[in-house]
Amino acid sequence: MQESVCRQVVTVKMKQGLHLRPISEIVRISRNYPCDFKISNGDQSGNAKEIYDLLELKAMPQTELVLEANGDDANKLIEEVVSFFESGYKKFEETIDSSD
Amino acid sequence: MLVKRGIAVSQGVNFGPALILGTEDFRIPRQFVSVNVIDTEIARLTSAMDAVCEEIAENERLASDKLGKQYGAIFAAHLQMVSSPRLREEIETLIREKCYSPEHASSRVFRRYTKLVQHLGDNYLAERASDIIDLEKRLLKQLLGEKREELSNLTEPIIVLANNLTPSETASLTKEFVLGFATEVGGRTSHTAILAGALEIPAVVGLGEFLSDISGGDMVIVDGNNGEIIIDPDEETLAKYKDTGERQRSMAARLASRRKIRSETQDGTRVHVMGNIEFPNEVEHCTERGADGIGLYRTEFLYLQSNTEPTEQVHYDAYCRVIQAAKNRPIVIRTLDLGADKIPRGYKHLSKEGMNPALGLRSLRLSLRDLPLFKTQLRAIFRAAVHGDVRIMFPLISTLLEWRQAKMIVGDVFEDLEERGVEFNPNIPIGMMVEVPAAALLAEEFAEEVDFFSIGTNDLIQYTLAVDRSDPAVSSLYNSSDPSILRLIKMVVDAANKKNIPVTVCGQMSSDLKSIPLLTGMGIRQISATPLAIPEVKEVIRHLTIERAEEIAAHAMTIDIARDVESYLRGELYKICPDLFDEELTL
Repeated sequence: MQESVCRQVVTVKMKQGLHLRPISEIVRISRNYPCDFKISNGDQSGNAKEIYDLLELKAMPQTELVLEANGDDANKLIEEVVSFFESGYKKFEETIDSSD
Repeated sequence: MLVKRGIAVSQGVNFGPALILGTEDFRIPRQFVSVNVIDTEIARLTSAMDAVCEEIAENERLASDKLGKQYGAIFAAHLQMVSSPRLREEIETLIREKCYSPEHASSRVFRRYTKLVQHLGDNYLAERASDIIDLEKRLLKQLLGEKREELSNLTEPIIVLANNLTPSETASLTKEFVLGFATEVGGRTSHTAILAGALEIPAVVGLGEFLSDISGGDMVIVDGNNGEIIIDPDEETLAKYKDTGERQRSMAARLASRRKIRSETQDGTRVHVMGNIEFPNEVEHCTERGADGIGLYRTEFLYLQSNTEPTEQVHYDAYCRVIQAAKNRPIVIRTLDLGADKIPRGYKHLSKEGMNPALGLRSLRLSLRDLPLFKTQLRAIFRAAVHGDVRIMFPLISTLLEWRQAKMIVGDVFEDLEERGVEFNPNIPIGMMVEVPAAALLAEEFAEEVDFFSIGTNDLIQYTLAVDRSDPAVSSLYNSSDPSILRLIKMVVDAANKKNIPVTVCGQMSSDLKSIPLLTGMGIRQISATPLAIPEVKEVIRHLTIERAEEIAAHAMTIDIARDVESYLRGELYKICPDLFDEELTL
C-alpha cells in the first residue's frame, strides 16, 4: 500500500457520453478503494463514489476529464479507472439498443 | 414561486396543499411531522430504503440471470442511486431541520434529482429521469405501505394535481375536500373539463409538464379564471389571492341576495335567464341562483358513466329527477350529442380512426343511424314529459331532411308508446340547435317547421371559423365576437322573430357578460348560461335598457374585425355596470 496523490486526464469515448451504466461502474470501482477520488469536467467537480455527482458532470463524448485520487492505493485506483475509460467501457456499449 | 399557464375550464380561485396523483395514485398524506418523533420517522425512512434496496438487488439478480449482465447493470445503477449517501443525507436533513415527513422529504429530493437529470442538456441522459421517478415511487410505496389513498376517501381539503384525470375520477371528486384541480394534458371541451365546470371546482387543464416541479403537500393556487396555477406562492401573491377570493365570495353573496329579482331590463322587458346542466343535481345550482329554467340539459353523461348503454329506465329516472328539482320551470333536453368514438361499446366500428370527428358521425347523425339508441332516449323523454314542462331539441341539425327524419322517428316513438299503453306527453315543443352554419343560413325555412331555436355558439363558431379551439395552435383564432358569427346569430334571431318562435342562446357566449347587451340588442329574450354565471348575467340585464342594447348591437354589427368588436363590447359592459366589474375583481 502506498499513500499518494495521483492525477490523470482521460477522454470520454463512450458513444453516448458518460451515461448511467458506465457511471455506475466507476462508482462501483471507486468504492472498492479507501482513498478520496474526485473527477472534474472543467469547473464541475464531483466525488467519484457518488452517482449523482458524476451525473452532474454532464460528460459528453470527447470530453476531457481530470481524475484525482488522494490516499491509500490512489495509483492502483487511477490505473483501474483509466483502463475502464480506455477499453473497459466497451462492454456497456453493446446490445441494449437505445435504452440504458 | 412558479406560475404555469394552461386552459381555464372551471371558474373560481382556490388554494391549498397539493395532492399529486401519479399513475399509481400515491398520496403524500402529510407534509410535516412533530419534532419529538423525528428519530422514529428517520428509522422508518431507513427501513423503507433498506426494503427498496433489497427489491432492486433482487431485480438486478433476476435481470442478470435472465437477460444478461448489461441489463442487470441498470439495476446496479439504481441501487447506487438509492443507497447514495448524498441522497440519504439530503433527505435526512430535510426531516431533521424542516420537520418534513419522510414521504414529503424523499419526494422533494427525488424530484430535484429528476429535474437535474432532465436538464443535463442531453436527451439521452435526460430520459434517465424516468428511472429516478421510478425510484421515488418505489420508496413512497414502501413508506406508505397500504396507506395508498383513493380520491373518494379524502379527509382534508387539497388541490388535486395529475397528468390527467378520467371523467370518472373527476366525477368522484367531492367539493368538500377538493378545492381545485390541475392537469398536464386535456382541453377545454374534454369531458373532464365539462365535469369540473358542473361540479363547480376551479380547474385548469393543459398546463404541460409541471408535476416534476412540485411535491405533495406544497402550497398551490388554482386560478380557474385566468387559467393559471401558482406553485409555492410567495406571501404577497397568496395574500392577493386570499383577498380576491373574499371579494368574489362577497360579490357572489350580494348577487345571491338579489337572486329572486326578475331579470328585466330597466324599461321592463323580460329576458329569461336559464342554466346549462349536465347532471340532475345541477338543477339546484341553477335555481338557487335564480334561474328561470334549464335551457340546456346535456344528456351525454348518461352514456359515458358506465360501460353499458343506458336503458330507457335510466334515462327516465334521470329526467324525472331533473323535472322534480326544477319545480315547474321549463327544461330543454338535448338528445345525444356524442361522436361514435365516444359511445362505449358497440358503435366504435362506425367511426374510422384518423378521420375528423367534428365533421364525422356524431350527435344527431349518430342517433339517426342508430335508431334503437335514439328511440330509447326519445321514449324516456316523452314519458317523463308527463311530469313537467319538458321540451326537446335535436343537436347538429344541418339540413331540413335531417330535421324531418328526426320528426318522423318521433312519430314512430309515439306509436310504440301507445302500443305499450304507457303514459306519455306527445304535446311538447320540439326544437333544434342552430350550430351548423348551414342551418343558420336556412333559418327561415327551418322556422316554418320547428317549435324553437337554440343557438349553440360553441359549435357554430368552430364550424364557421374552421377552428378547433382545443387545438392550442389555432385556439386564438376562435372568437365569439367575429362579425361572421354576429351576422349568423342575427339571421337566426330575425327568422325566429318573423315566424314568432322562441330563440335561445346557449353555449359559452351566453355566459360571457360582454355579449349580453349585444344579444339582448339583437332581439334575444332567452339566454341559457353556465350556472355560476347566472347571477351576473341577470345583473347585467337589470342594468340595461332595450334602447341602449339595440344601439350597442347595431354599432357592433358595423365593426369588421373581431378584436375591435370585442374591445367595444368590453368597454360598453364597463359603462353599463361599473360597480359589478371593478378591475381587481376581473384580475
